[in-house]
Parts: sequence; C-alpha cells; structure tokens
Amino acid sequence: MRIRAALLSLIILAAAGLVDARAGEAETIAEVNKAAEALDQAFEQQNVEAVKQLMTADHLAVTPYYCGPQTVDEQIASLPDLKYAQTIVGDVEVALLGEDAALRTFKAKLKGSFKGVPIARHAFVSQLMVKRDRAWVERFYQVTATGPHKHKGKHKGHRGCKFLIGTYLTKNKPKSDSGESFTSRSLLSLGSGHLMLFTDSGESGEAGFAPFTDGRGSWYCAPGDGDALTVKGTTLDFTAPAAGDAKGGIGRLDFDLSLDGASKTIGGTATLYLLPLDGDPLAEAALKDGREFEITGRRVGAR
Amino acid sequence: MVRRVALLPLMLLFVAGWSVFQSRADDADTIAAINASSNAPYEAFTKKDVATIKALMTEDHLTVTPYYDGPQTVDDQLASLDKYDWSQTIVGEPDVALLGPDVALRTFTAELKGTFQGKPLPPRVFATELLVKRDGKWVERFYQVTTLEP
Repeated sequence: MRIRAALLSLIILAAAGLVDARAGEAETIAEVNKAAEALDQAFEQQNVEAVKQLMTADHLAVTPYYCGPQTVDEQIASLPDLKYAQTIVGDVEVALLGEDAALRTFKAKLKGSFKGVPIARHAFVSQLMVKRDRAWVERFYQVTATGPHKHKGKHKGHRGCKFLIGTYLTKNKPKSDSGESFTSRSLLSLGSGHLMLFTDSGESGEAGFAPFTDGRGSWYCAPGDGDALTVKGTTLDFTAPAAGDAKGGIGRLDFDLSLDGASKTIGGTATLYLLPLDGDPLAEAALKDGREFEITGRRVGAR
Repeated sequence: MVRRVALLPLMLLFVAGWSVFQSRADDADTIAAINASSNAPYEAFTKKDVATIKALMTEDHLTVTPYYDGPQTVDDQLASLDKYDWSQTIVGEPDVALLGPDVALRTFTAELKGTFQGKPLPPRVFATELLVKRDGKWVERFYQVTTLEP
C-alpha cells in the first residue's frame, strides 16, 4: 500500500514538474518573441540605438538584398537605404535550443526596397536568438526568397492538378432554378501559372444583366473526396454602364468546382458579385448579395 | 615569506592562463567535431544515402532554400532526393560559433552546380547550419540557404 502511495506521489510530482516546465517554456517563448518583435520594430523605425541593443556585437545578417553577410555596423550604415515593411504569414515557430538559445522562424511578405531595388516579396525568415545578461538578443538573421506562400493543403502533393489545365464548355443556370433550361454557356479555361479565363455567351447582355467583358483571374487545386480534385477560382470582369450610370461596374465570379478526371467533367457553383467600378472586388467585406449559379461542363478536347 | 607571497599571483596567473588555453583547445576540438559532422550530410546527400541522412539530422529538422518549394521536413527532402543533381564547393573556411555547450552555428559561402527538378541551382549562396548535440553527437537541426549575387 505504501509502495503504491509512494509511486502515486512520484507520478504526481513528475506531472507537476512537466506542467511547470511547459509553463516555463511558454514564458521563455513569449520573451523571445517580444525581443524579436522589438528588433523588427527598431529596424522599421530606423532606431539605431535600439537596433544595437537588441543584437549581439558579433551579429550577422544574410538576405538576398544585402550584398553578402552584414555586420551590425554595416546594417546600421545601410539603414537609410532600406525601405521595408514585413507582414508575417501564418504562425511564428520558436524552438528552444537549450537554456540560452532559440530559433525563431516564420514566413513573411516583405514590401519595400534596398538601395532603390525592390526586395523579394515572399520570404522565409530565421532569427537565432541568444540570452546574454538575462536578455534575449538576436545573434543571426537570415532571409531566403521563396515562391508565393501556398495556402495550406493546396497544390502540394497533388500531381493530378496539372492535368486539369485546359478549357471546359459549361452550362450555367441560377441555383434556384430546378428546370433543365440554362441561362448561358461559358468557356472556362484553367491555365498554367494558375491563370483562369472566362468567356460567357451572355456577355452582350441578357435579361437582368448589362453587357460585360471576358473575365480573368486565378485558380488553385485541392484534394476533394476520394480521388476527386476540387478547383477554387476567382475571375473579374467589367460591366458596361447601364442606362443612367456613366461608369459601369466590376463583376467578380467565385468558382467552387469539383472535377472528375475519368469523365473529364466539371460541376459546382459560381457566385456572382457586382460592385461599383470604384469598389474593391478583392476585399472580402465588399462581397454582398452574391447570386449563385450551378455549373456543369466537360473538357474541350482536340482532334 | 615575501617570496611565497610573490609566487602566489604568478601561480594564479599560470592557472588562469592554463584554463583559457585548455578551454580554447576544447573549443577547437568541438569545432573540429562539428565540421566533421557537418561535412557528412553533404556526402550522404550526394550519395543519396537515406539512412545516413536520417542519422545526421534531428527528427524535427527543417531545410529552407530558394529552390525548394517552401520549408522541407526530413521526409520531404528524402522524397525529393532523386530530383537533385548537384555539387557544392565551400568558398574559404566555414565559420563555427559555439552558442552553448550543445548548440553551434556553422556558416559558409558556397558555389553550387547542378539542378533541382531540372532547374539550375543558384551559383553562389550563403548557407547556415544550426547544429545541436544529442546523445553526445552533433546533428543538424536547421539548414538555410540564401542566394547571393554572383
């Protein structure tokens, strides 16, 4: 009985120790993040004193826009040449490497220029932080230019996506309409480089719609149910001015489609949003009162 | 007595000097071990030796390069081994900074030749290896490559 009680006590003590350790780690990670964010801010504000304080004397920075590795003094000397704003994309990861070192990594969108030359827009950033005199400071900073950051679960590992490239002939009808008749027919092209093109039979105008132009936009592919692939895409077009409206408008079509590779058929929904010409069709908040259309179609093959 | 007192600072100086010398010798040994360990993954990659690659990297290893499609885990890298055809020449000597008893930063400039997925690799890069000591052995935890102007 005593042995059981002793074992139970040990387990409780071990669990308590684990909880303490995790709480300690979370605190350390918060300190690392705070120091790193302060340094980013110092750079954006070109605050030389803060930059010096938040980096070690033997700090090095390596980026695609600097001409080779830069010391602290070199970075400070080139501060006026750096016009820079950084937006972190996704989560910041902090890995503790012992008591006095931590690796902080993240993906970022960069905006700006160095010596007048635009800097890479998409980047992976690593910051090696070390603890000196009880304060976290940066020891090493490295930026690698990458391609545009992919949305989670899209593209990667779906080799079938490239076989979706092509043109599809579709029939479109309002989703509320249960009949067989269709409102228009379209040619929908999924191109390489995620280019999406849209041409509709009703572009010259039909009941309830002013004339509009072809649409252009982009698409991406993601896994659907089973072997199926789904395509999400957005195209924009311009609407001719209606009577009494001198400017016309801008249209946005959001496609949510699934594709059957075996039958080379396509099906799903397109949602149409109409905005004034000076509206922002890329702002999600501006998308109101969408009209849904059901789309079915098949791939256009060559003989 | 005066002699004995005069000898004491000398002895202290000798001990201090010896410990600095010893510590530098230890650092040199550690740096040599890190360099030896760091060269091994490159050789394993060029030989496409999966078992050795795995043994020389931590399980949570990440690689970031301009030619990969985003950060790569160990499995991602192993899956793309066949897409690689490359060689690397380190320019000058790598720098190794010891950041604690079990953490080291190794950096170097390198010239790359070859392709990844048929696309040419950047000819001149700066590479960083973050190494950690696990079970008495130095292994790579993180690897990052940045393109430099040729």
